[in-house]
Amino acid sequence: MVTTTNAQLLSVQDLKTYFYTSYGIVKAVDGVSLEINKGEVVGIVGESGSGKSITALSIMRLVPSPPGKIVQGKIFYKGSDILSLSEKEMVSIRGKEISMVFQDPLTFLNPVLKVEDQIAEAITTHQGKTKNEAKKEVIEVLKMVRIPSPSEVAKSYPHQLSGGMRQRVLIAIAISCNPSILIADEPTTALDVTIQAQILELIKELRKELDTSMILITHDLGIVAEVCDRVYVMYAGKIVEHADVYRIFEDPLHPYTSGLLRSALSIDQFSKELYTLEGNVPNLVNPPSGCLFHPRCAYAKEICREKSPVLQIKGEHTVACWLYKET
Amino acid sequence: MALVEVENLKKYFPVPSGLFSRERRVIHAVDGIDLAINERDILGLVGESGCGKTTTGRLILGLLKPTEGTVKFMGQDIFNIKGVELRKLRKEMQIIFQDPFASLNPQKSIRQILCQPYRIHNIADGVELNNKVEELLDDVGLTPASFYLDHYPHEFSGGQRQRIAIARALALRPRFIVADEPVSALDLSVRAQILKLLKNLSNRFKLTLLFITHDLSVVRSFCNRVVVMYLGKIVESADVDELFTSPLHPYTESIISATPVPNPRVTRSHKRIVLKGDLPSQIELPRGCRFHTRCPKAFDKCQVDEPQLIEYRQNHKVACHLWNR
Amino acid sequence: MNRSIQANKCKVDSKFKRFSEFWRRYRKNRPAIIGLIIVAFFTTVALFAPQIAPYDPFHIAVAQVFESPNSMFPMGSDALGRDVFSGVVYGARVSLLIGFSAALTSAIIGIIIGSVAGYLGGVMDALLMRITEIFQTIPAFFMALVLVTLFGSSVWNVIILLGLLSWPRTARLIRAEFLSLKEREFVEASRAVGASSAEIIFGEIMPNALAPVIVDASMEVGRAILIEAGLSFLGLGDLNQISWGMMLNNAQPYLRTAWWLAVFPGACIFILVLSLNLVGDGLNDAFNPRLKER
Repeated sequence: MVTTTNAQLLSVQDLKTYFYTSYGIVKAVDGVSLEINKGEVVGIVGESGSGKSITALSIMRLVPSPPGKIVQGKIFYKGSDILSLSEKEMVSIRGKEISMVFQDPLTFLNPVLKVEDQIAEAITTHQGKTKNEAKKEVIEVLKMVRIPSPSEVAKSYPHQLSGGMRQRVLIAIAISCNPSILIADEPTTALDVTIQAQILELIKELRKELDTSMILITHDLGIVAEVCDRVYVMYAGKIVEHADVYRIFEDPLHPYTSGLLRSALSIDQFSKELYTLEGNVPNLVNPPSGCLFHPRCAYAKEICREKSPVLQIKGEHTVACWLYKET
Repeated sequence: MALVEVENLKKYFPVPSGLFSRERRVIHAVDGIDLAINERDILGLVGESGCGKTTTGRLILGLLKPTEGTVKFMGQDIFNIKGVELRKLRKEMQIIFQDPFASLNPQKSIRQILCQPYRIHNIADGVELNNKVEELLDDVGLTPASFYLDHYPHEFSGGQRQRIAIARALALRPRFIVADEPVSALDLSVRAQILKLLKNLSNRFKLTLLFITHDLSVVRSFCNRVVVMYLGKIVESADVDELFTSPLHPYTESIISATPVPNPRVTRSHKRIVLKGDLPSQIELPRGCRFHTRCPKAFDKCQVDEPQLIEYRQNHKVACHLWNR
Repeated sequence: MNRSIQANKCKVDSKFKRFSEFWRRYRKNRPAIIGLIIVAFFTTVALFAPQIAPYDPFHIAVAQVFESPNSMFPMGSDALGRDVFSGVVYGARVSLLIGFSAALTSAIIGIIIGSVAGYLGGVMDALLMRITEIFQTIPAFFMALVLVTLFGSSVWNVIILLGLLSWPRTARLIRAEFLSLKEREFVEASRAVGASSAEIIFGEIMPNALAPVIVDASMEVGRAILIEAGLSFLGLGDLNQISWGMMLNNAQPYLRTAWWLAVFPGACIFILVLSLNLVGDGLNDAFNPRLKER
């Protein structure tokens, strides 16, 4: 299932996206580097304020600008740096090469356009086909996302569909031009668990059929365990740990990762002891000194208060923590 | 005698129909449920959207009037009393909501929000009131209390607001608290903190909790009994470990199966039951068993007869023809 | 320190803090600040009119008719030798008095009707909304003409008239706010705690519903001033008070020959109403972050 070809599709290097607000500068993404290879599903896990969504928006260059700004970094897609492209060139990438699916389908679907018009719009914009040709493709795309009675659904308006169907339509729009990378930001958070199961199955099937790479952004560790190949853990704008999915869950190195995993509840859990990670996510306008996690960390040392740790390789993990010396 | 007894509770909401339409259609939000909540229970009420769990919670607290049926609290029919008696009852049951941003009045300071219950019931005044309110904040882990009192809700994070909402619910020292998805809108690490807080408080103040949620992972660690609802009816109820180890109703099986486990080896080896289709309309209900349109184990009787909730094993009830031969 | 004194001190501190945060948000909007300064300026002028105006605006000086702006008459004089500057200064009084009073009247009527309709719903709501619609469909100006003809045109009549014309708008706003707010969870929580209906209406819902009404009221002042100017322009205003509209009316025959007669009062109307609108915008922006999450 995971392709072994190491064809690197996307490489984000030292991305920094800051927000300039009247309260101060918010370093939403502060030096993030990640890679996506062909055929993989990469998870970005974090809580609020971790910067995971802004990272995705930065890749798509959809960061609201003011007050946000990509102040540093390079994003290489198939060889060229996306950040240096003109807006016109970017339009041909957005939706066609790299597509995004958002959390709440109701806000992202146009309520006054029929489903087929919205999908057709994506096709005509990127593939230069006529409206009629596009409409035929619409049915094919709807079948790909396993929508029952696609011709009826095509003629419906978003509010006439259920939450699960709407999410499928969003996914349909996103894959209509066969993108190489699909970014999904909390795609199932707003859905019931049985519908979520359907969408996750769909994602797995699409990945097999279309060989699309995916960036899955979520705070739900269950979904990560279910679908992802590799995982990046983000905290307060930085990546704190990165490894393949089995290693992250079985042998988390960073105290935040292990704290998060222990806090996560599970239907498998027999212990009724509730573990908690104390403290709160830091205020990004006035962040703590040194390592941003140190105020909450049970293992914090003197150096943690002073210097921010750098990402280092430790075995099969990459981790940013002073507990681990350079190997 | 159970603390809360619900009998044949129904709540229908009218569907706005056109000016010239003759039919009066209704949404069958809650369609005849019987429930008993014993003292010190932490009862999980689970189901997906449209199952009626939120409406049930509101009905039990008397915030909504039922279309039919009764709710008895400590033996008293809560819809048959008024005035002073109703006020006394209000002190015994409180609610915590899902959205910490919507459940606190943005125009009121924390002090005003927390003083309100004491003020309404004439419990305390002046310095004594101040002390009580500070104690409440201490109880929910917001210290130093004086820091929080004179600020406004929008200045705090989701987790902190939820603690304030819990403090408000505790002010009148109720016996019974309905928690409607209290942690769904919170981050993972904050979720755990709030659940731990609730557990400690329920032990300390001998509370009975009705915990409404769609997240089964939370239920497993937190509740002692579970009731599963689907389209306005109870389909299964049991002690928590019994429900997860031997679920009887196919719907229960499917939602347990659909819940991902944060452990890749376990969750990927697991054969998932994926239900076909979507939730049917709450207005035009399926005939026979409401679940039959999506049930992988449905057979002919299911399309015709609606199954009754029967006690299949000790403390384990189920409404399904598979177990009702 | 005595705890209750401390508690009271904190209450005062927190109210101050709320206001200063609100002010900080308002301050961010440059035009709104300029608008506020201008409104304050006109208000001061209106308050101190007798001290500021050099002459009685009705004082006739046959020898000094149609003087263009000069040192004795900074804004010139009119057909009867009356000082335009003094007229403008006293006219500010009339405009602002009528504007603010009318806005206040319509706000009070609108709030009462709208909140009752929004909170009670059902038959009462339907009834009150029909009444609101009746008032709304009457063309404002014609109603003004009729009422002024019937009841005379004193300042107080004009204020009541304007109040009666614009309350439907406020009522609708408040009703909409009540309809959405009464389903909110903090209201349910209050009910669960045992609050009475009165407490819920005035303590929980009203403070949250007022923001759009305050914004609208500030715009209403401007609208009322314009209608008053129109009425005076048609000769239907209070003839005993000098108002900008009346001055415009008087200036009609002389637009080409004595431009100052129309330009100064006209400019004042324009600047004041514009400033009030800017203030309204500023208030709108300053209120809104409160209603959103952090």
